[in-house]
Amino acid sequence: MEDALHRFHTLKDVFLLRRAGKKAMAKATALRMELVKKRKVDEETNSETWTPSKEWPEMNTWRDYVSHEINISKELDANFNFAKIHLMSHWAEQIRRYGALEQYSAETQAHAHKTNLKDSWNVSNHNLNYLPHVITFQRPILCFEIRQLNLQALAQRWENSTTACKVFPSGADLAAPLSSLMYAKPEFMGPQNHHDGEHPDAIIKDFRALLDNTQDTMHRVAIYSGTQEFIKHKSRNKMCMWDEQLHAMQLCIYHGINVQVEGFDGDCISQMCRCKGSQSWRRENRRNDWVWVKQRPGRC
Amino acid sequence: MTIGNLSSKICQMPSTHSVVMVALLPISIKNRNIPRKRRNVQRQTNRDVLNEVLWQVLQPLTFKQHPSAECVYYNILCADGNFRRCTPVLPAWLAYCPEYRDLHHLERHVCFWCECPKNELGNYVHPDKQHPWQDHNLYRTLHDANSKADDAELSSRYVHRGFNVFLPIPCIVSFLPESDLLHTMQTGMLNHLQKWIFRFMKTHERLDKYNAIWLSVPAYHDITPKNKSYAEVSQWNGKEMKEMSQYLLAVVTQSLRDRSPTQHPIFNHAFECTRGLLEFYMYARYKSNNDETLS
Repeated sequence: MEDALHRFHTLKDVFLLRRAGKKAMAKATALRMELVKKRKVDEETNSETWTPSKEWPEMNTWRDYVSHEINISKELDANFNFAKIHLMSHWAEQIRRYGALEQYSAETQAHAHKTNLKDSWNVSNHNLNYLPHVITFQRPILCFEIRQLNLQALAQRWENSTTACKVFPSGADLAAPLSSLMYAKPEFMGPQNHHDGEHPDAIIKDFRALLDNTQDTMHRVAIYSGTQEFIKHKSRNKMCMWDEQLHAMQLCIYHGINVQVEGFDGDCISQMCRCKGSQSWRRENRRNDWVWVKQRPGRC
Repeated sequence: MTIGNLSSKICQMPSTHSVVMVALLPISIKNRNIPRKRRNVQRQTNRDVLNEVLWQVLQPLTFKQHPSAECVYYNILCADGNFRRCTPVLPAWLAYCPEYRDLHHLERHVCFWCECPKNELGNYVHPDKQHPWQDHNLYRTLHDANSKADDAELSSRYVHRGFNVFLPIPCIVSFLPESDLLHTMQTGMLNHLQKWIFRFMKTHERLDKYNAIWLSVPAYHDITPKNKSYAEVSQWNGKEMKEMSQYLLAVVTQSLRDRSPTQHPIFNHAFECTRGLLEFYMYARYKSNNDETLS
């Protein structure tokens, strides 16, 4: 890389004439005008001695002389002193320091100029007070579109995963993956038919009932195999569990959890996370995406 | 604002909103509408306004002001209304050379990494003899001293006087700009090289041959068939330059064939120079490097 750059710098003078800028060109033109004036004076003084046979060779040599002088003038004024030719000399060190160079595309950022600025300007009523409108116009659109993307990503993840039903065997503590200070214990906010802290759903009390209650065969197989796989391989406390033990386990089905998070200013804010896989769950049958299984007595 | 660890596929789709608008930077009026006497004052005002706006934008991210900054991670309200655990780190960014210049408070046509003099920018710099790095801590002390000698020192290092948003940040600011292939090579040096070759061919009366060979480049993989010669294309973008770099050397070699003995050294130098720059570009595009490729 350094060798190639060194070779380029050594031989780049062959293009020096082509680097002549406006100032160098203007200077060269002035020089040409001066030489032409001088030539006219010479022609007038030597008009008697210069015969036509002498004049043409003389003219040709004069043309060569002028072009040579102009080239020298351009070369003297031209240079390669611009920033980008120098920036290349830092690249070898940059690669050593930060790794391979990335090939960026600025089209997205350039496109943002239209979506963020021009669209909102066109929508506004072009009053003097247009700046707040331009600034606030894009924010709700962005919020909605990002929420839509999040939902699509969740749906995609649900479809791709082998586990159609995620089971967290050891309860709420494991649901919050980090320290309990950052994430408080989840609170139940799911089905509407629970009373006095009792089991939320009268029909589904254990894992066997959940499987029996699932109408779709594929869905049932996915729940069963996914749960087994999770307990054996992915859970933090991996263990071997027989089918009878699994079927007898009590369930607690959540459709959403209330999470306490620390805000940017250090204040505590509760945020509702809905346990759903796709946007259309309300219009369809109830889906149990997150299920806490009571694994040991006394601990949920 | 964007996130650095996104894949390029997601980054390049506007529908994924990988780039989020944070603030609208002020655009100053054009210099041609300002009298020459007031131009320097207006430029200084523009720089101050830009830095003040950037300071307002970056102020919430300064670690000193945040109470839980010691725990590295903290929850940040995202655009979708949810909180996410983030670690704000000021990384390098992508910008054109004039924008880097404005952000770093430097004069025009100056390297933003090192203190290379303006009249030596075109010279080859050996890796062991690099110029000293831009030291923004030194500039801050010179700026705070506020004496004539310090002002002269600043101007000798091509630095403007006045508040710069990066001066209070406790890091080596000159490491922040990232070298990018798009602006420096594809739309920068390769564009220059193309212009030089075009004028070179014109001077040596090889332009017709050059254009004919250019148009005859066949479609192959990502090379599209050519309908227009170089001079007929009004604007070149980075992608076209990248594609052009694959066949430019072959076109130049074929155009410079059948030369006279006097033309031989000149054409050879032109060919070797083109080859050197294109070879450097190809090496720079490597996804992994070792000492052999970098030397």
